[in-house]
Amino acid sequence: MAFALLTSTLVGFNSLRAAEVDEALLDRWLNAQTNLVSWSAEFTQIRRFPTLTQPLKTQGRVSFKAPSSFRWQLGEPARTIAVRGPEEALIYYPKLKRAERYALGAEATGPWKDAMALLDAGFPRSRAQLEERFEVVAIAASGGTCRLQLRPRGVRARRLLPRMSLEFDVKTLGLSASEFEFPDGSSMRNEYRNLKADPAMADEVFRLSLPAEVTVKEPGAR
Amino acid sequence: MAGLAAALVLGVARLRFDADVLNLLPAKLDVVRGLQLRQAHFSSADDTLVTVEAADESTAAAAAESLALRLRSFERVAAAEWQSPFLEDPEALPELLAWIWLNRPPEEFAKWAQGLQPDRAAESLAAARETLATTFSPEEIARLGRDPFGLTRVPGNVGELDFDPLADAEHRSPDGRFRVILVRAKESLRDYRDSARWIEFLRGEVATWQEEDPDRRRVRPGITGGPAFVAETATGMEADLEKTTPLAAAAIALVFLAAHRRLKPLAWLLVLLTAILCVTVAAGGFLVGSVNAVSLGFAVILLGVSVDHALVLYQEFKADPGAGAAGARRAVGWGISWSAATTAAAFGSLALGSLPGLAQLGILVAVGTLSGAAIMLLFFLPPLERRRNHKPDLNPVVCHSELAATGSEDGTQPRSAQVAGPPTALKFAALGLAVLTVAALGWRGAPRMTISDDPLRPAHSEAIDVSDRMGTRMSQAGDPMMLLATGPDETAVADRLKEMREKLHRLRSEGRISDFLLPDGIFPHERNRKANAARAERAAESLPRLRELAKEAGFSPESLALTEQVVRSWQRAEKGTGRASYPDSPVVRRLLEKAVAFDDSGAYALGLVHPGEDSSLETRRLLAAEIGSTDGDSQSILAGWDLLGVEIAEAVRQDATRIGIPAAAAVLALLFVAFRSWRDAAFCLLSLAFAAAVLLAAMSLCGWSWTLINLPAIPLLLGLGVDYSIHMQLALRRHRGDWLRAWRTTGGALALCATTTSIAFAALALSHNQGLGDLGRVCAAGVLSAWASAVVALPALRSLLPAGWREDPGNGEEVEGPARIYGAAAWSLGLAVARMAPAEWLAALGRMGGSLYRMFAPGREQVVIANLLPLVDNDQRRASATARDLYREFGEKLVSLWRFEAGEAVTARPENESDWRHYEEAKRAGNGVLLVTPHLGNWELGGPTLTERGEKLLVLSQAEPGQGFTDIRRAGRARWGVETLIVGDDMFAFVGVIKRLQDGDAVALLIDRPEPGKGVEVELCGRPFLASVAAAELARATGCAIVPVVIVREAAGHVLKTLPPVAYDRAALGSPEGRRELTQKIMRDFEPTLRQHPSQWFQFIPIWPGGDS
Repeated sequence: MAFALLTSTLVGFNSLRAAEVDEALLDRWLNAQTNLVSWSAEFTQIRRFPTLTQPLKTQGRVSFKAPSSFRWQLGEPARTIAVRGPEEALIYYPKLKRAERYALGAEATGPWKDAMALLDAGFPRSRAQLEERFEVVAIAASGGTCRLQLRPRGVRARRLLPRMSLEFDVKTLGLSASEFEFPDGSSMRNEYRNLKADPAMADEVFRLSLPAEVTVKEPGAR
Repeated sequence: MAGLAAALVLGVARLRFDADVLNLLPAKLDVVRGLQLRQAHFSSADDTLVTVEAADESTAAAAAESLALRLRSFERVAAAEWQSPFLEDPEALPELLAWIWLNRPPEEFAKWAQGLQPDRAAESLAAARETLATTFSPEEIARLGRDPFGLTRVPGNVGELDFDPLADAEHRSPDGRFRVILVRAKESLRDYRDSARWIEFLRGEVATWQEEDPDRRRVRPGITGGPAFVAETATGMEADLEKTTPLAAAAIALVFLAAHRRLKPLAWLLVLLTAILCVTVAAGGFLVGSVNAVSLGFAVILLGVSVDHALVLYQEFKADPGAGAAGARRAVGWGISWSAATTAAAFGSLALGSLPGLAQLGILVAVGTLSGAAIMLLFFLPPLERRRNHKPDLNPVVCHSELAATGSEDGTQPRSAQVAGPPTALKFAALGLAVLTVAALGWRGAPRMTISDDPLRPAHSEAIDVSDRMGTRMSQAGDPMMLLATGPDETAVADRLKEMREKLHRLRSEGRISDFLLPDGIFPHERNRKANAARAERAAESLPRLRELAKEAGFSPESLALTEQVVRSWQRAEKGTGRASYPDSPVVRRLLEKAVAFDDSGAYALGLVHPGEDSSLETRRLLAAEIGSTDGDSQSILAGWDLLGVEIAEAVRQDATRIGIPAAAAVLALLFVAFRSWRDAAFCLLSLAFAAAVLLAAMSLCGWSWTLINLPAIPLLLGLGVDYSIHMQLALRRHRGDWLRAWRTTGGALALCATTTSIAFAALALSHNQGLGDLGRVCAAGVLSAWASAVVALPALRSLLPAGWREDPGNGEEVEGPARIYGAAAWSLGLAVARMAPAEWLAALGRMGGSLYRMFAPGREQVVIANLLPLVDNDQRRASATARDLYREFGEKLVSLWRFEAGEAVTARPENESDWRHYEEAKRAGNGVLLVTPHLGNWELGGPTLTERGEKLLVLSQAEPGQGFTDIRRAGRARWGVETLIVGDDMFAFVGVIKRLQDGDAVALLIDRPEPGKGVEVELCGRPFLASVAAAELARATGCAIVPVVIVREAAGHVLKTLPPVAYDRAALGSPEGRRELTQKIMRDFEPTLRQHPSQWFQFIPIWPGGDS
């Protein structure tokens, strides 16, 4: 009986201890994020669909500049470029000569805003910002990587994206992967490499000059 | 009696209680029709909306889901939808897609089907893979893996449909904290009681759900939607009826008891009031079929008006105990009849208006007022008469000290001949009221008309509060307006929707609307379905090949599940039209039922339009005018509850002109007929104008305004104002301008009337419905204004005028002379009609006309009855019955006379040959024959009887009233060879008559109505009677034979009866007494015949000297 009590106490103590360590790791990572001014990386995007027998892999590059500018480019030459600013997001499909513009300001509502929010979901600037949008489901460190499992707080965002996870290197605190799981069983994983913290980054990177022949649509508006 | 009871039961059984406020409104207005169509045809109108509101999105969503699941567990709940049903039933989406594609234009379907060709299909699959790898669009990511052939990318406008799994704007507010659960009952909620039970059930279950978990208490639930509105409105109205009518009856009882302290008359009054309500409700069942809740206000109006009649009768009955019930009826029956007629006319005019609710109210009050007056006049007093003590009973409301100063205690006669005018205090009161009215109107102005649908709503309504909160929380672009398209079939409506889409696109691009939702994407289109059916079949055949291609492109079999389900759905598609063509999926059917409907008349579609930034009422009205259109059998209507007020106000404005003028003319005409005096009619109008001013001033001071529902106060004020004014003015006439006596008999009764009626209306102010409350308040003020004007201001005004201006002699009718209608114009008209119409019709018309004249001239009838009393041994009942016959006889006599004067052969046959011998015998004496007759039967017909035998006849007549009338009558006789001599015009005329008699001719004269100053008093039926002495004078001058003759109508026709010549001593005629005795002798000869035919003794002016007729 005494052994059992001792064992359970030790197990409980160890679990508590591990959780404290993981929380500390998360805080360190978030502190590093807070101080980040700009960031860029190359990535491999792996999309898995229940309706496809093989995953779809695409190479790409991502750039971030504080406070909220992003540029995602898929494919080389680019097959998709997504640029996000504080007020709007522009997604350009060069091959299709098509572009879509989405309003993201305070007045904008609807599923598109939630979808566009995913573009910066891997880059929380603070613990408060993270917890405002996500519930931290689990933190687990293993093999030099810390995996953070999140669940969107908003019902509608959750309907769009039930779960997501972020992985960062425990030593460098650099983001190593982000993964989004969709309700239909499909997922999208970005595996980052060649991370550069605070590189010099011109504002033009986040501006897109669309050729005249490109048709611009605003799906979020009627 | 049994028949009457059966009719009552049948009428009451036919009556339906209608709680739908829209049925109060004119269906010819597009906005009303639009709302009615929406309510009648679209399922969303039957949905109960259970709302939950929480501090955060997650709590609200969890609460909505939990509550919906709980409600679904009940057998009586058909559906409880807390989110888009397509989220819960993924199988429904392919069904919907199949339906949409099948109804698309054939060219669109053909274009999609081409994508299934082998080469195009491989390209589509490759493109889908590429997009899946590179798109950022969550919609494309979700869609393309399961729909590589683009079935969900319906061309055109279907993207605006609510089938996006993420789009559930119907169920959640933009911030997610307000959720709406659409709940539908399994049973049909046809009756308002069903709705009430259903809402009670939901309310109970929501409360239980909330109690089950303390956390749920932080959630704010609410219930609204069509069934909730119906339940609240109808049960509220029912409660109003149950509350206000007994309250009004109790108030009436209390006031009556306080005034008269008698239980029996009160009990009998309440019984009769109940009977009047039953009769009116039964009549309502036959006339209007259903009574709207708001129209139920008629019950209170009716109680108020009918009790007035009873109180006036009772007051008169008490004030003159000797006169009995019949006397009281005679005294005030005229006034009651006419006031009932004017009130009925005023309310009846509402039936001509555009608002069915007011028309119902008007018809019910009009019918009820007339039947109420009849019931009260006939039945109220007789039972009381049998039981009452005949002691004079002073009116407790009378000030005895004032009475003692001016009149006798028994109240039947003033103490002296002086007339008591209104007291000074009354005059000051009237003056004060006038000053106050002018000051109030000058200070606050007249009350305005409020144009809104608020009066149609309950005063306090949870359903409306929840609905308003929902509108604020859910709507992003203001309250949407409903857009309805109708047509004879689905193709016509589909075509109309297409036109509307173009128009709405334009309006949106102009910024006049912010958004719209049209169901054209899901609307069935029979022609398209037929055209697409073959291509759909070919698509099914290509499925195995598509599976192979998908596999080769790296797609799993699951990727074609949607495509296969859509194609299978096409194979199952029904071939029918309308609802029969709908897919099986309940979710899809429900979606369709929200926006698509059919009935025997055609097809309907429902859409929504959100106004632009400027969403003012005027902008909405302009939008409705621009979007709404009618083209043959097809129509588009933009409607909204907020437009109702504007549109109805416009209809009311048009009604005011259309109805107001005829109604005013009718009331004016009735007033004239009632008073027979333009002066009194003008007084009545002045009284009305003053009452209206007082009411306006009171409304202005209280901050009330005119609304759609309190407009009936206008006819009510008109009706009661006229009512009180007629009663008061006739009372003043009866009492020769003696205000105190008029007050004692009628004014006090009217005070009771006004008190009871205004209390009855004030009871309505407690009503659950805002409109009824407004109606009650304004009507109560209107009643008091009408009373103050008629009883206080009007006598005061009359007293200020010179005596010659203010008093009309008599009791309301001039009965000393012939009727005013007796003149050349009416006679000529009668002659013209007699020439054209068949004799049988004329006789019937004549009898009817006589009865009508009697009813419209009760004062004249009293004269006739008084004239007849001595002939029937002073038997009042027999005299009254004989009078009724007399009027009918007179009507028939008139048409006979017209036919006679028009040249038709209307003759009288001698009763027997001896009659003629009396004449021959008289003639043989050679001194001429004087034929004397009373005003009995149709004496004129005797002329041809003589002239046809070659005799010459001279008729002595007085001049007829008015120009040309005498000539007409003279010509009429001349047509039959009868000469006329007008006596009184020519002083030598008498000489001519003597000459004719001396020549042996026949002369005829009437003996029983002498010229003024030419009569002698004889005895007839035991009473002094003035008869013409002319016969005796002529006998004295010529020694002519005097032959009494009468022509009366009997069953076989007109019969000439000749009595034996009257023997006399010519020498005795030298003295006046001798001539009087001869006259007496003649009248004595006539008496048996007069007693035999009293109903043909046509005396319409008072004939008995010293009598009170």
